[in-house]
Amino acid sequence: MSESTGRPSVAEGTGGVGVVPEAAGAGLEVVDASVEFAGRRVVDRVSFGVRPGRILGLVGESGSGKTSLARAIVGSVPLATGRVRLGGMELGRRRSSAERRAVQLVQQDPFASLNPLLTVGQVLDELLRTSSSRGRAARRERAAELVALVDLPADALARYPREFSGGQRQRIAIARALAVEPRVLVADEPTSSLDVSVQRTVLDVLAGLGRRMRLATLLISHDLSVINAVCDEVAVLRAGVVVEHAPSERFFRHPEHPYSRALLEAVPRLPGRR
Amino acid sequence: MTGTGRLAVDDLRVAGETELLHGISLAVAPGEAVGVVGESGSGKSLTLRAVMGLLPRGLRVSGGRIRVDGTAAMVFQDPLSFLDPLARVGSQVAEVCRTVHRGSPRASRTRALELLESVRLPDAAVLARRYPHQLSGGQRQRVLIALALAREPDLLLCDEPTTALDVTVQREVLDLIARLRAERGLSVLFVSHDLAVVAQVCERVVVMREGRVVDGGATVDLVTRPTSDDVRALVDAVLPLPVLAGGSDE
Repeated sequence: MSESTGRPSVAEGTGGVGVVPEAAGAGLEVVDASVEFAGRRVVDRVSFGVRPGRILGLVGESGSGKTSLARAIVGSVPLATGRVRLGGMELGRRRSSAERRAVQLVQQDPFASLNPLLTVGQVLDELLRTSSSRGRAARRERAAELVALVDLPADALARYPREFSGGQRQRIAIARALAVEPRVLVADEPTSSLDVSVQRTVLDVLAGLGRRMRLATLLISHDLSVINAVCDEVAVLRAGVVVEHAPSERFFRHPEHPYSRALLEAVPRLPGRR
Repeated sequence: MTGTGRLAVDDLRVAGETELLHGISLAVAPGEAVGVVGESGSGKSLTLRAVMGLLPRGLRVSGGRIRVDGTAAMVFQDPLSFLDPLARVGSQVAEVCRTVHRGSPRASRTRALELLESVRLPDAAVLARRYPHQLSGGQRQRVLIALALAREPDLLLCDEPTTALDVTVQREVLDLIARLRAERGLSVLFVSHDLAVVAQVCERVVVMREGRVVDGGATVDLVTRPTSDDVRALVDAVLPLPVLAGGSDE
């Protein structure tokens, strides 16, 4: 861990930080996006870009619209205005199955999103069967690779979700998202149902794989120390509007918006820690 | 204001089919705030439940002593599971006031409103007429604290009271607990998995693992000079943040 910046180091991904959405043509672009529910606008003309191998942290409190925005990006709720582009191509209103696979969501509660009746191996095999042309042996091999990628032992494949701890389940959810070879990972509060003691492992797995596999990753959290741990840039969402978007190095020391500062000042910090 | 609430737990054992708490000893002096930290499964919440006499079915106190001087009240992590979904929050607080003070319905309602205002529930008179599901998470947690205060406690037992809250709301609730300590001399036992949160409220910390107390001491000492692997792990688990430059205007 680097004491000077207070940020744990994650291998690779040391390129320059770009904030301009246009520069993100190769990754995920959200342009002028709005989301409405029952006529009420919960996300209002939000724009940002995430390049492959980079991680953008989207921070917001409850009611900020961050989960609605996540859903719009993965295509499960429609946009009221604007568009979502991937590699310069607009993702349609009705997404093709390839488009759906390309943008994967990792949710807060890993247990709720895993079928309790299937082993991890069965879950992964089913996804690999429908998303690739691999034969049975190749699928088994890939499933073993995926489990290894998220730092779980090989025997995890034969076990059921209930046999794992919360942190392990969240790593299974990450393996499942990666199984369909996405280009974008949207992680919505991936660690907020976990003990602080296992947060870091899950974040390291998420960030390390995102960078290695050149995914454009959007990490959504209400917790700024989670964002600080892995993100290259930070966007602050308040009442559906991005009020600040800056490189992490600048944001955590010199936030510009008063709301960003209020958020940073509210985080409980350990007394006497450098 | 000097406190009167005091808690002494001595060699507490709790068992179901097997023993889960293996001799817990801890104490809260009048006016003191003590934190209990540990991972899930360390037994910290179970200790708190044993103190309140609210052990889950099938578990019993199998040894040791619990002594509470003064009235104790508890604040839980999830207010929704504790509040009556079918009653307006103001009447729920008034109901408790009524059983404690045996006053008239009108006096109880007035007292309830005072309490809701004292926990800084915004628009208390309006929100008191709402049902739990019509309030935000932070508002519900304030109602729960008001409900605990309605028992006129000397000792406040808190079980992860801010874990489900937004960070700015968490800050407000932690500040509220600090203010109540200063104003009412409340003694506090505060359970959390997050050492940074505990450090905001408590001057002393007890560290638990696998049903045992494994370390403890003054919060600042523990955090700045951890002497055991258990404490080091808890300190390391708090993700660091860079120091924020400047005040509002320098």
